Amino acid sequence: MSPCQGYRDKIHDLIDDDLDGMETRHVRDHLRDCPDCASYFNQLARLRSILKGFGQTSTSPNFQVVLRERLRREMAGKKDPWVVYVGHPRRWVAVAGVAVVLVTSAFLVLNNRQVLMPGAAERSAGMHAPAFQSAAADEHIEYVSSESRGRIRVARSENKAAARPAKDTLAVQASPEEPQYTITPVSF
Amino acid sequence: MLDKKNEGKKGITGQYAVADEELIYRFQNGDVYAFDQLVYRYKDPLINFVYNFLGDRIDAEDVVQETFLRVFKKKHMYRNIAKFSTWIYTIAGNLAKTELRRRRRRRIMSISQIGYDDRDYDIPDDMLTPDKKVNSDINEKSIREEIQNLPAKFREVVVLRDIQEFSYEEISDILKIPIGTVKSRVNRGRSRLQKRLKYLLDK
Repeated sequence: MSPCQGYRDKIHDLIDDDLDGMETRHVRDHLRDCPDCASYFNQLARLRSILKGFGQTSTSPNFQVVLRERLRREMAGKKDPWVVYVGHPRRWVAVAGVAVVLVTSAFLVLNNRQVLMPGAAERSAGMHAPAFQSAAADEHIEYVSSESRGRIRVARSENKAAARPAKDTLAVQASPEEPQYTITPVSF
Repeated sequence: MLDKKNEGKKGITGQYAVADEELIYRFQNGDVYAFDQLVYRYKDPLINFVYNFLGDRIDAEDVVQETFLRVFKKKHMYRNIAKFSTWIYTIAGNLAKTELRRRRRRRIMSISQIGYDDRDYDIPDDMLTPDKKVNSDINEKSIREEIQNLPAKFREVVVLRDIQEFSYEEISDILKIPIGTVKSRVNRGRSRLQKRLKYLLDK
């Protein structure tokens, strides 16, 4: 340990003006005899005076305005009974978002059910769906399941049978590829 | 009752006509004007303390704002057994330390997020000679940097003692540590600064 080590703490006390008269004299005598301690003391004293000058910072000009605004917001958030009752608006945005998703999903599910099982709604209401009605219905078959397609095909064949012209029909419908001929009945 | 106009003014002795403790008492009883007075008195001393402790002006202002918000919200927690200044500095000091911890966490996270290939290395510039660093007699920037390089426990006491000029007893009350510990930390903090800034202080 350096012989001056004991004086180093006293030097800090001297800078803080924290020594009594006798101790002050004792330390000052040492400083006169010891250049290292004298240099240490001078540097610390200089440092202290510089640091004192560091206390000149001020807050920004709008500090109090910003503070008041923050206080107003904090207090409003706490005391407004409406906010306390309904919660924060952000919560309601989330709830509304979930509701929109649920309603949209429900709509899509119901819509798909009608596409997959045409007439399901009517059947459930106690009505019979027309088995086969038109070319539009025929097109519709393309999208249905195999089970329902089979059922509808049966219906179509029945329909065809019903639509077959009688033997003595005077007008013959040719196939679409062939030209159409009209046979006019002749009386003798 | 004292005149409200003189509440914010210092007398010949440099003391305010109305003590801080009287203002906080009034504020506790619903006088918001008293809170305004406390803000007016403490905003600059607190920004000095926090700025010198954190080294960042914007963060310091944020911490001081938060300190006043706490005083506003927790006004009933102040008991007239300690000085108001001690109480508000304790709040500010704790918030500043929290900010320091948050920064440390952020730094650790950002370091851990650096990949092997995009790692940057800062090479310390040992070639700078003292005369290059010094623009005037005393380079304030260098001193502020060295203050920031002190460990937090030394930095806070040096700032409170040598910049804010609190007594050892007041620092002991603010930081809730024994006076002996405060003195030893101040001495060690100053000695570290003196060693690092020798080239500036010898001029």
